[in-house]
Amino acid sequence: MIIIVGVAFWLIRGRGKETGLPSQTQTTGGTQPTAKIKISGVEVNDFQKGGVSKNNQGDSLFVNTSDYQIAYIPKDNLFMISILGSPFTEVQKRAETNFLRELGIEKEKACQLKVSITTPYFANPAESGKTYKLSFCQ
Amino acid sequence: MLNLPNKLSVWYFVSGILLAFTLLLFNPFTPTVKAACYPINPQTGVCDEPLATCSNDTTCCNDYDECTERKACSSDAPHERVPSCDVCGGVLFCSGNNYRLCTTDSTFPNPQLGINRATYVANPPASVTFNGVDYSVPSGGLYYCDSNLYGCGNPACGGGAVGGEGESRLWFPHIRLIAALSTIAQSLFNPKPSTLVKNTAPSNREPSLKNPTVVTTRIEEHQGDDGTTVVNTSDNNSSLIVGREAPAPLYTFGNTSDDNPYNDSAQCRVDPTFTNPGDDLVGPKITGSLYYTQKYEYTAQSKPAGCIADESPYPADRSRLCCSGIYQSNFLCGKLEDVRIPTKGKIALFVKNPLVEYIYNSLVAGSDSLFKRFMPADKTQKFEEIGTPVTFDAAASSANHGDSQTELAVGGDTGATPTLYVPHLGSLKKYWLDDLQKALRPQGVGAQESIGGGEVVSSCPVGSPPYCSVENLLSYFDNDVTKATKASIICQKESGGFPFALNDGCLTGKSFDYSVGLFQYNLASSLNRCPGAFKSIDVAKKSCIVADQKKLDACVQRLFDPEENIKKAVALSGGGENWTDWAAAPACGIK
Repeated sequence: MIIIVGVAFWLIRGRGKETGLPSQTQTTGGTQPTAKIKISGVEVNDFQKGGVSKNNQGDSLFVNTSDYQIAYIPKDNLFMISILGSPFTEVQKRAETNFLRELGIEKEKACQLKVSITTPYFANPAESGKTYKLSFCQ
Repeated sequence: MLNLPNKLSVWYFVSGILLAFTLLLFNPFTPTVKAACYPINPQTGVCDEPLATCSNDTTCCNDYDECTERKACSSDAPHERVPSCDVCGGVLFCSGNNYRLCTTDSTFPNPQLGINRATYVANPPASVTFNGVDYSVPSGGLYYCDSNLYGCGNPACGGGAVGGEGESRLWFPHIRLIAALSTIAQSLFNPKPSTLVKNTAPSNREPSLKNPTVVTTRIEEHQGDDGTTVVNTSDNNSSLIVGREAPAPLYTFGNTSDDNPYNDSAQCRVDPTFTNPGDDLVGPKITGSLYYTQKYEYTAQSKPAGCIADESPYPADRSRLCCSGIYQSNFLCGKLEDVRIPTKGKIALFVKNPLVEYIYNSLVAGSDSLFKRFMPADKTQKFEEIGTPVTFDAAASSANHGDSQTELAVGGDTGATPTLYVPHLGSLKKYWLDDLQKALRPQGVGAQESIGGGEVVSSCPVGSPPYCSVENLLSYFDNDVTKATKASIICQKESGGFPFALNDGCLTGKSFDYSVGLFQYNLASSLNRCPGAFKSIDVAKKSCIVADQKKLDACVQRLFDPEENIKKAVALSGGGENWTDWAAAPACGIK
């Protein structure tokens, strides 16, 4: 029984813990946020509580995996999703799903938020430079 | 009435009349009009009017079809179409500029020269000759016209101009509306705009191109006028009316009417203001004078007979009384305190903002606003009112008061910086200048206002706000638009504008990178870029070994700051002159 509980605990802890930023910032912000905040008129989970990293501008990196990162730029009420894995489209879909989960919102609500999806040149040269919207917002 | 014998006679009679008309119409004995052609007028060198000039330029005929000298047509100008025919949708379209000046089939009727007139032949011949070329006519018939429009302008056949490849013009979204707006805006700067009618009577104040200055600015709060009455016909009430009653106070000063400093004599005067290039409101000093008369009443108390004056000794038994009624412990009569009654007076400043409401309504918030025509409905449901604060210096002084204790304050009771709030200007800036401009921008140029899903197509567009936009980078690159634009493209391509972008490829040998942030500043390219962080770096093996993770993390954290990262890029690029250190630069054709 103890072993089962231990394994389960290890699995839960391990979720989302992937490579990425320097040592102190190697996890997603997925700390099951329950408090709600309003951004662009949409009520979302307080993702900043479990934030991974912040810079001097107050930008908050709250999801950090080896395949994608998600940050919030309060200055512009903007969510930025950076795709690090490939193929780009597949990773984008996964990132979008996680984005909805982290914020605790449906697609319809997500489309009311300012969200930009980009990818750096080193990750996806062909897709880099462009700004993409959430694929389900048409 | 004719008296005819029988039906047969009637038949012969009618037939005879018909025959007579037929002979009149087709008299075989009428002489044929021969083609009339003449040599060119030797004195003028051209054909006399109204003769047509034949293609040889030496013969003049009554009609061009009578010319025998014809040549194959070519385009006389680059924009002209060489006369020819094409089948489209089962119809043979023959078109080309002034084709009848060239070799054509004489069976074609004669549309007026130079007229873009299309003619359809319902029962077409099996073939036609057009500009010297024979064409089979399909079952759909024959259309011909004297124009440069491919397929006689039929959009189903490409419908465009020269070349036959369809529409050759590029239309940006809303370009016609923008052109109309530009025309209106431009006309406003003409000394005497003939197209603009000002000072229209209220009954005719429907917004229109001819009457864009229709005043919808609410003036009911001003000087007792309501919005339906034009009192000042010279400017539709947009100016103050000198000497007219001032508006009601914006706030009250007390609970009793006696405490209200306003009175019927409060009047207006005109103080012109103007804007300088920095948009600071500049104008003459606006002064106001408050004259008041303070009235007070008191009831004098009678003094005791033979009382002792102030500050004089009084007897211990108080056999004589002090006039003041105040007995001090030092056995001197006390002195009554002065009674100070505070006086409160205020001067309020108000201004008009001519046309602001009209502009706001017509561009942004009104039911037929341009913004609502451009933007999707979900973006026009609610507008945030953003008043523009205008602070001003104010000072108060007293004259002829003679009392040094008079307190004069500006900015209200709180002493705050006096501020005027101009309505709507902030909202106009946000919705009209920022949001709409972004929405109308061609895709891939500058920041895009999200008005739907989809990809912004362009391989190397300039960066998006907040960090990679040209606007954001401009000040870092000496306000040089070219340099800032290059930087913007590099920033967007390298990191996607993601401030936390990190490529630690040198740890795994994937690439010689420990590149951080917006411009992917590579800490691994030199041991000096983050002193003490790396034990070794090997360009050939694309590898690096970290010596001190904490130091490295500190460097990374600093470079996650957009401002710090941009400054590094400015330095590394020589102020935006040289981008060869960036891997993405060649992909975007930037050096």
